[in-house]
Amino acid sequence: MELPNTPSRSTRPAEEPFGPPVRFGADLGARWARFAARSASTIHRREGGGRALRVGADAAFDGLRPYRAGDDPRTIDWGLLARSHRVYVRTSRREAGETWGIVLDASASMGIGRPSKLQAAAEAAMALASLGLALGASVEVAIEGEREAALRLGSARDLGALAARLEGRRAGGLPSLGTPVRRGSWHGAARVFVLGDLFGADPGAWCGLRRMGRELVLVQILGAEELAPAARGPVHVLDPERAGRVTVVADAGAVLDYERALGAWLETWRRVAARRGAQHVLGDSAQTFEERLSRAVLR
Amino acid sequence: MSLWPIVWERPIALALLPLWLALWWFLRQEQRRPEVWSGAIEFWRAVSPESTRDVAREGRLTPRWIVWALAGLGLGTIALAGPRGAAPGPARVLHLHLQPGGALWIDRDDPAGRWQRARQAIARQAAALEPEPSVWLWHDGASAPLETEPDGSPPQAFLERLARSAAPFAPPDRADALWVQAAAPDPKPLAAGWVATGGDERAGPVGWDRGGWVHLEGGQLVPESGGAARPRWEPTSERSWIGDFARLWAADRGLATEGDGPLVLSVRSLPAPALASDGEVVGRDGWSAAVTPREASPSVAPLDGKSEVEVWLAASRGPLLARAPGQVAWAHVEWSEPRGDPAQVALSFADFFDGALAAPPEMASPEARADQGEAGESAPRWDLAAYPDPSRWQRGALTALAALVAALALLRAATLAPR
Repeated sequence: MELPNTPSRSTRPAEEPFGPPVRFGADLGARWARFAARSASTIHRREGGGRALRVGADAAFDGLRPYRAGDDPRTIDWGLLARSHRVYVRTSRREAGETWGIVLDASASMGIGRPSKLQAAAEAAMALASLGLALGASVEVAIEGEREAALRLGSARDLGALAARLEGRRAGGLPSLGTPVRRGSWHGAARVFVLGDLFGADPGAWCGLRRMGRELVLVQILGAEELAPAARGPVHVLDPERAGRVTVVADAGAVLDYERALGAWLETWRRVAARRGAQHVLGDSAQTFEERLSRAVLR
Repeated sequence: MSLWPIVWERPIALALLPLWLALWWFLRQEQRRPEVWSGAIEFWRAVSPESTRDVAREGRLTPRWIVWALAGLGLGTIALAGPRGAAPGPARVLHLHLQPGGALWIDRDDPAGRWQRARQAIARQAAALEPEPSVWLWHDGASAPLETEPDGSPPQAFLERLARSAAPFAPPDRADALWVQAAAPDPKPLAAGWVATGGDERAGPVGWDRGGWVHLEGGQLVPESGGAARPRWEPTSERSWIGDFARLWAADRGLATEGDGPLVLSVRSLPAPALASDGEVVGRDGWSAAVTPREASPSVAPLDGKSEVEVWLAASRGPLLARAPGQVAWAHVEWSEPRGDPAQVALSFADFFDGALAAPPEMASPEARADQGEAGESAPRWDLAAYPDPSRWQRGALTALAALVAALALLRAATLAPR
């Protein structure tokens, strides 16, 4: 949907940090490791049942399975098709050398929610990085909106550097996910995860990252109040980034209208993602990273 | 005009200002709605324009309609308080407004009576004024004020006239005035001071009802049971139908012509006005009579009383019937028999004689004899008296202007207030 381009004055400078800082609890390290181990095991067990991330030198033949919609046509075993008149695809085992890219939105709106969307995205980023490293991939993490170069992780020992980079960070700045920007080498990654609320982002541009040999997973995280606002009557709605402030009579009718409009926008993301073969996962910030990523990774 | 110092005619009105501040605080709280941070603000803007209002420009300031409303209320309050900003001048005249009637004078012979207590309270109040007044002006509500030195006292005649006066007591609420009365004023003046003598009921005669005096005793009107001397009147020996009518009226009222009773009415004469030889027709209240010149000289004394004389009936060139307290008089002319309804004639002349009856010195109204409650006194706003009192026109103009400003502000607030 097209949103009105309403010029407005923010009630706070968008550059200022907003929301609570990211804090990693003591149990998170174990949970990330457990998640990575279980997910890697599952992926290994079903390897051949999932889509190959890259065709070519990185992939080693592992077996055949019946063709499913969305499979890369280049993996079809044409010889078997000619012999049996059945469509099978060749499956491969991932190897070291594959690169995962993780794009993390840290703009001011990510400071919203309990816990904040940034907290949820940071926990998910750590979990994905752990998983990628467990699978032998190298991982590049780019925090959109910051000037520092993407952080490249080659082994599990590097996870501490990522945790140090994320912990204590607060949301701030204008929306950074408008269109994908080439940062580091993740642009050539076999699998790209985008973590953010995607407000202000262009679905077509982002889903365009999905291409042959690269999976794209859009992990959209919204605050509970953004997903399902309460009908609480007159209320001031404030945008920490750019939209200023509006006074809303949030009665049942207005909430319903809001939810319809938001639902239409989310449906646009889902539809564009499906058309491009990307995954789109939506959840609120209160979800655990395990709940959020089980759908994104172990599909 | 000097803006400082500002003094207030009714400073009590300023007590409303904290109320408006409290109202402002309350309205601010009302405006302080819950705040929700959201990255999806554009959806709120898009879905229901009528349910959203962009207040970014307004920021967190108090809405303008509240500002206008409070400005109107504040200005109205200040106007109500009556600021005075003129340069002060010397205030040296203390106006003493005495309550007419017998309430103050009822126990004049008692050294601890009402009038004596009033004098002491007046002296106390005057001594406390700074600067001390240099002149006292005594007002009886009817005649010109009487000037005395501070701590002076009006003459006996002034006080007796005051005691007989039936003028209403309506003293001005001015900062240079001290109201002197028996019972405490209700409501209290804002600027004027007051002294109230208080005092128990003073039992005694309050009227004459044909056969005898009526007394006030224990708050009740009690007819006197025999023995008291009847009030007297002095008729004229000259024969005329008016004289005959006076005798009938006096008999009906129970007045005596002899005895030790107080003299309440005397018949006197008026000099004959110039009349044409064929006379003149005069009349009132539905009756008329022809008057013609009379040769003989009057045998009764002329009317006395000067300023208190009331002309009741006049010919073209002079009075024919007049009265003063305790006296009636008619001109020494020939009166024809009255024409008209006899009942109207009787009522008209009964009113003439009744209005001339003098109250005996010991008689006072029931209100004057009644219990006057507790004594009390309050100082005048002497500080205000140093400032020129705005004229009635100025006060009205200022009030109208303040009301107009307040009304405009409230109107503006009403147009800006959210529906």
